[in-house]
Formats: sequence, C-alpha cells, structure tokens
Amino acid sequence: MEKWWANRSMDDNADAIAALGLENEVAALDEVGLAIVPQSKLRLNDDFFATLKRRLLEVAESLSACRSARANLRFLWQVCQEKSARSPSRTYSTRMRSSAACSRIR
Amino acid sequence: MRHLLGDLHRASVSNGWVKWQTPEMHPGPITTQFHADQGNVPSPWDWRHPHVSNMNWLLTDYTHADGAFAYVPGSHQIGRSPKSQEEALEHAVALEAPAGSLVMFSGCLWHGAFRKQTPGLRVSMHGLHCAHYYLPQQDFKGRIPEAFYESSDDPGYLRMLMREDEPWLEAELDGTFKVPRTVEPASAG
Repeated sequence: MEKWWANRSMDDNADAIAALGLENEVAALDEVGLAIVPQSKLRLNDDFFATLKRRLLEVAESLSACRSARANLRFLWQVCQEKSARSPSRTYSTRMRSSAACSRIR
Repeated sequence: MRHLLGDLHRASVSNGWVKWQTPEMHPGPITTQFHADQGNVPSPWDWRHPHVSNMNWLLTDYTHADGAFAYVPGSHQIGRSPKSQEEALEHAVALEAPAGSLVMFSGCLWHGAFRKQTPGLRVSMHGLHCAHYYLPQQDFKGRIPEAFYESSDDPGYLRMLMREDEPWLEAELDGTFKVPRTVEPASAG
C-alpha cells in the first residue's frame, strides 16, 4: 500500500494553504484555536450542503424514533377516522389532536 | 488538518448532529458541557501539537439563540481541560456563521454549546481527526468501498485517513493466516 505521507513535507502544506487562500484561517488556528472557513473558499456549492443536510436528516429519521412515532400517529389517526365514522361525536377531538400531531412531525 | 496534526493522521469519527429546541426544564445556558476533545490525554498539553482536531460542517445558520457552538478563544494554549464549567462559561463566546461554513478547531480548545432558544433544527456534520498514534473512535479500515476512494481527487489521502495504509491488521503469518476481522470488509465497487 502506498504511503501517502511518505513523500510529503510541511513545506508543500504551506504551498497548499497559500493556493487555497487559507493563510488567515491557519493563523487563527494558532492564535484562537479555531477557524471559520467561508463557503466561498471551500469551492462547494449550495447543492452540496443541501444534499448533505437532506441525507443526514433522512438517516437521523431512520435511526431515531421519529419514523415510528410518525407511523404510530398515522395509525392512530386512521383508527380515529374509522371510529369517528361509527361515532363521530365521541372521537372527533382525539382525531383532530392526532392529525395535528402528524402535521407537526412532518 | 495537516497543519494541526502533521502529515500522517487518521479519521477518528464522522457523525451528524441534529439539535432541537432546548426544553424549558433544562437548567442553565449550556446544553453541551464545556470540554476539550483530547480531554482523556493527561495534561499538560503542547498546544502546537494537538492529539486530535475537529471540523464541523454547518448545515444551518449558527447564532447564539439557535444554540450555537460555544468556545473560549485562546483556551487551547492553556494546555488542559477546564477545571469547572464556570471557568469556561465566563469567557465563552458563540460561534456565529452561516450555513455552508466549515469550522475547524484544535483538540485543546475548550468548547460546548449554548441552549437552543428557537424552534426548528440545528444541523451539522462533524469529523474528528486524530494523530496516527491515537485510537480512533470508529474503525473505518476495510469497511469503505473501493469506489469511494476512486471517486476522490486524492484517494491516497483518503486511504490514509481510513488507515488502509496501516499494515498491521493485514499481516499474513506463514503466508496462510491473516488476522481475522470481525466484520467482512466492504466489497470493491
């Protein structure tokens, strides 16, 4: 396996920093301990970040209780609909509450 | 990362953070307690050579009210973790930056997060990196499809991050035995 680092030196890192215009950010890392690199210097467009955010939230939903909570509320809403069809006056408020909860989660 | 960790370093963990409005019952102005990412290393630290460094991709705008990252400027040079939350909070500032920014910081820096006072989500992607002698939090080696590397502008760098250039776990004894993996590596392509 090729050793990426074997033929590197911090000299070429300085060249790379200059080429990317990151001198101020690197100085901030030393002085402040933190640097903010603006999107304009990252050479990444809005689509990149929008896609990353969308995919991250999809994964978060699949790994968390959000999906099952939404499914449970939909099931509850369906049950309420069926019940309200049989007895509208008794289940109307429950149906409205679960429907509203579904909307919030969406 | 090369500036902070040197030429040879590794990816330690990559994860997404989703933060929602802090509940009323949560006490105090901080939701993530102040710490330094290399806090499990005995101090004093040489801030010029941190053991770990972090980067956060901001996917939503960061403001104080939206539960921004909180940090103490210059605290990386103190060379130890904060002794108390109050010690850090007294000097902490909010990191305010628009979505699309990349935040990089030393593993010596004291940081946490302010409570989120607004509805909606704060979303970010974090990538902790570590020196080559430091134990990564995630084991990427052998688990990344080859196509992932091939799609990179610098596949050699990416392989180094994932420890694919590290020979030890691939050692063959007598040409017949290979150190077993607990999980099969991801297939090529």
